[in-house]
Amino acid sequence: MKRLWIAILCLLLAAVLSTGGYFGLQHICLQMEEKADAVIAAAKAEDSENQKNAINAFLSAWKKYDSLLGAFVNHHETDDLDILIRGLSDKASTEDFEGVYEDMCEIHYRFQHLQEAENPNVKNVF
Amino acid sequence: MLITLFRTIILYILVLITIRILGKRQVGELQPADLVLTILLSEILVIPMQDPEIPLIHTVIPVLLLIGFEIVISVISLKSLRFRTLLQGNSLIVIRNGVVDQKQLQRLRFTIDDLLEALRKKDVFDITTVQYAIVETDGTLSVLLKPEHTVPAAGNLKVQLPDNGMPTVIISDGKIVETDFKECNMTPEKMDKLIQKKHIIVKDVLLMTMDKNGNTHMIKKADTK
Repeated sequence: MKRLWIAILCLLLAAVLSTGGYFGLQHICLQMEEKADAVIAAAKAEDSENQKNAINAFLSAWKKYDSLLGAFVNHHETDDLDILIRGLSDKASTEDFEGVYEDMCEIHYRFQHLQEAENPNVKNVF
Repeated sequence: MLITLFRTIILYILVLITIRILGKRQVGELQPADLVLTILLSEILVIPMQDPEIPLIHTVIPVLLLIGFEIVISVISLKSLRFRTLLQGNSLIVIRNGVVDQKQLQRLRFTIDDLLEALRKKDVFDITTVQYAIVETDGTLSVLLKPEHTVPAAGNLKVQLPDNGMPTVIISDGKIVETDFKECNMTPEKMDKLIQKKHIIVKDVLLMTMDKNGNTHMIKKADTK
């Protein structure tokens, strides 16, 4: 009987970790996409001040979610994102906003891809 | 490198916990479902040890699921004969009353050489001495010899043998082991008296056993220095 309870606990834990991980990842990706959208909008409007603020907001969010993301996603995906974001951080610190729009679009698409890749649909499962 | 070290330690602990939870079934003869589980677990656990790219949670979740499924399936097997048969199959008689059942052998994809080999592993070198041979669900062969080829037991010869019960370990590697004291009617107080009476230095004893009639056997530690 004790083993059966252990089994049920293991199954529940697996379910909680999977579901929690999925929704956690979706939340992180949505948050980062929102922040990225703000940067993209500022870059489109060529507003340097807003770009700088939006980039800083984006970087703060990345600092907050970086480790958590690494726990759920293959590391090469987060490494690639990290490299791109560091480039962005350098641009923000030197106030050189050339190419920010393109970089931010790529970052946005990568987060979108992470979100889509974790959806439990037929394509991803098989 | 350090990442690999830490991951290996974590995964090794996870393996130990998994084996402990799954119990002796995994360590003894394997049923088909147990064999599948063992193979799956070893593959799942080894890959993240070698590949630091994979998050550990991608290993922990499958391991938890496998443990859960395995225990639930074993509980259902215990309660339901039909489910047990579905999962494990049935034992099959391949020699019945001294006659080889060739149809069963074909069904099992067992050649006669396989059968002879399995018999030899059971120390049976002459197939004509076998009354029954059964292939169990885990693939092993159980053999019942014909009465005229069976070693008679004391009961058959009407010989009275002393019943000493099972020798129980009371000292192991220099330490007193109290877990099975009740098997040999031992108590901590009786143990102290025995040690004094036989002038035993416990830390110098490699192994000491005792049966329920008080017969002891002791092996002292050798000087290996």
